[in-house]
Amino acid sequence: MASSSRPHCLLNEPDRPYLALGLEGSANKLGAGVIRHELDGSSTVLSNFRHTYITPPGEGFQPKDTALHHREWALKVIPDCMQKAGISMHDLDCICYTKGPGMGAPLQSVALVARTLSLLYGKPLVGVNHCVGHIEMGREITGAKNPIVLYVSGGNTQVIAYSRQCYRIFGETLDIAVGNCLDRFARVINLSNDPSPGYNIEQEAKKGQRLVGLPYATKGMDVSLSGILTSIEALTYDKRYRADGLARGPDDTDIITPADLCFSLQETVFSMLVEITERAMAHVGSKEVLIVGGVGCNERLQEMMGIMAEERGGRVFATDERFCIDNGIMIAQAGLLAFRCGLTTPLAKSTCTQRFRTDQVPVLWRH
Amino acid sequence: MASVSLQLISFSEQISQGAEARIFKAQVTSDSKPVLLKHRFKKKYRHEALDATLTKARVAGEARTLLKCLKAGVHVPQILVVDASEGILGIEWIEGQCVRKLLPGGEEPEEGEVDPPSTGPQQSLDEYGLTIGKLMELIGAELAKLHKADIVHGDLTTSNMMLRHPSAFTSSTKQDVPTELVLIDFGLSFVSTLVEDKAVDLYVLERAFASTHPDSEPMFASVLQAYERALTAREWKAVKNRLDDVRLRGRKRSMVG
Amino acid sequence: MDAFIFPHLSTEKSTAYFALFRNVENASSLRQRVVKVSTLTDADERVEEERDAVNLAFIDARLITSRTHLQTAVHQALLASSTPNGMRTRSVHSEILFYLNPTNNITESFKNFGLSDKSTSLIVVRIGKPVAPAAPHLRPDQKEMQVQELMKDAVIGTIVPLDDPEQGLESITDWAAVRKLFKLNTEPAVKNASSPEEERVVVDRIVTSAVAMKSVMQ
Repeated sequence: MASSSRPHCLLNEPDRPYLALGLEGSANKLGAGVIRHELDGSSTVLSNFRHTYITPPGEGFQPKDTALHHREWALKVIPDCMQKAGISMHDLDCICYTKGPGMGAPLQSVALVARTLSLLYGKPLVGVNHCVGHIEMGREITGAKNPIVLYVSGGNTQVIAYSRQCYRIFGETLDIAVGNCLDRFARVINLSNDPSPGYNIEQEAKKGQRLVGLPYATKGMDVSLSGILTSIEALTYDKRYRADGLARGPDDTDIITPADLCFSLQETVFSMLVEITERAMAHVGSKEVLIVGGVGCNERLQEMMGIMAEERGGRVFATDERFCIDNGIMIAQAGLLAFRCGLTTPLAKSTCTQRFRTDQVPVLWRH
Repeated sequence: MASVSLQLISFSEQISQGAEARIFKAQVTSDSKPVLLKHRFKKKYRHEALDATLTKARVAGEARTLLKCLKAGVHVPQILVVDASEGILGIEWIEGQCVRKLLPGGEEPEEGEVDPPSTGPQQSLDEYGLTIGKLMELIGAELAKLHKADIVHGDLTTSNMMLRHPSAFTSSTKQDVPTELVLIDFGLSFVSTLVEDKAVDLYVLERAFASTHPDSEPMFASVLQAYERALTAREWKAVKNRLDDVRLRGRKRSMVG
Repeated sequence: MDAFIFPHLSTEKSTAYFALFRNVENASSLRQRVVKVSTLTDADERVEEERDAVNLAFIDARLITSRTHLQTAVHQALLASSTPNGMRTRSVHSEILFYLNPTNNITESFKNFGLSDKSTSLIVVRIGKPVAPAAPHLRPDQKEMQVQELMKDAVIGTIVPLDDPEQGLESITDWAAVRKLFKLNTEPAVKNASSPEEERVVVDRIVTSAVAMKSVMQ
């Protein structure tokens, strides 16, 4: 790709304000948001609505049921979103939707809604890479200019750096995503899925005292997480494990509680993530790090990342749950950037895809 | 009281700092040869107990790989100091130059390199009695020995290979060149019998060549030729085929989003 | 006399005096003396002096491959002795033997590297304060003389410089014994050596590295 004809930045100063609606539904959240790109180059979030499909403890979300949830809630979330934004569908420049990656059925149900709106109102469609959505919204909210990005969610674990119109993946998970690892362990110990399993693990971990040994698997800038999950699940069958977290008597001191396991899981997994992020920062000589994705709300992860960045003379950027967790506004933001560079998705190509790598997207809006 | 090996570091000259470790040039006794100390310093973001265990395991792992290399006849620095609890590994200081700086395009300081170490006057391959072609042969032969011993380097670049300076190369062997190619920095190495891991190892080097040295294709082709000569036809075919696969898909396996 | 000086170590450990003795005549009686001293109790007469007289490391010189090899063993032993609970044996002198040996078996390290009735070439090492506790103000050269006298009192033999090309270590090392002890005869590095000289370089590099990484050996 080092040829002289490689693409260059196509984003111009806005000649007028631009408006986009973003629709997201790649996993168990249905989100809709409206963003406005102002004349001075800034962005305004006009509205950002979300509804999460929550399953009972011990259960994950199935594609079919999740798609059904999205179809039902689209009828409420989108109108609420437009009303809050105070604009009409006719005012929009484009309708952005998540093309992938994610779960097939939920993606399709949202794409269908997007197509329908596009045809109804005669608005162009922009298919957006979910990961790029996270990155662009993170950059917009935090003001980080050219950070190393740690993208951590239920489906993705990647260390990303921007280089020549591409978000290059420097490191990633070799098996399961970090959010998936945490969620599945939450299910093992029967934590609630409300508001999210990861949030409840984080709260449990604060009560943990004992660090139990778990496999620590970084390989260069990649990580492997499935071995940790297997290992920590096995610990729930250990004779020292007390599911209720209570000692059986005054002499019962050598015990492992669910809180200890949550604590150990977080400490181990987050250390691995911070380590590969640091390696990428050293590699490209960057001092900024941006954490995006649902797991990015975790305050312990943010704290660890902050210590690392500070020692390198840099800083960490993170967002709160409104923007970390999947949402519609991030799709609107990334989509509108693409739209302003002349990238739209013709109706015939407005498909979705479960596999869509971050590095496949031409990032024409950056230098 | 500070530990003895930290005391040794405090008497030493810092050469560079990476994400994982600081590198020092040290002297264990006042009249012995210099030692390169690699100090895996404490990571404050990590839980203290976890950090201690990890640091120790990594120093141990790197030392074990080096010993395995030495026994397999792979040219690596010899080990001179180990203090695993302090995260310190001391190895032979190699007088010479890293391969990157001896090849076209390698003069610029590396990305992330803090202070380009003062190497004095520019050294050239002539000084080492080598042509580029001969150097590529040395690289290929060394990598073949490494992989035949089921050791995967994990971070092959032209920066992680050094040539001993002829003035500091005193082996009394029947060598046709007055130098020796030495592989360094085994911090990401591991033992593996998998063809996949060996192919990725070569691919990482190929990418490093391409990104650092202009017109690197014929150079890397010579590396592979020498590598091939040291393997059996069957071994080579397996690695070659897998390398072609890896080239198509990149270092990463394609995966579900 | 010869010594390794480690500036980063505390004063009482920073100097390791050593001497290479050839034509050792009293190996057997020396060994018996060392054994006897180890059985003394604090109540015995002149126990302090007797303990101090043999408070030395006696190393079979045939298994030492280079100055660096010896220095690495002494340094690693000193590192261990400077770490709380770092030592595997009872004294820094026996710790040197432990580091030289390829396995973690302490008895075996004495058997392989220590004093035996048949020893004729010994490297004697002394770490620690000058012999006479009553004379703390000795100049370095006086301390040195005292250590040398102590060694000469213990060992009957000829002191030769370690690096002497004729009489020194080079003429003593038993390379076949080293290869056998470290099981190196089947290793590619040794098998593929192009000359006996190269083989020695390779073996020395391996055994020195083995000593250095002994504490993390699997």
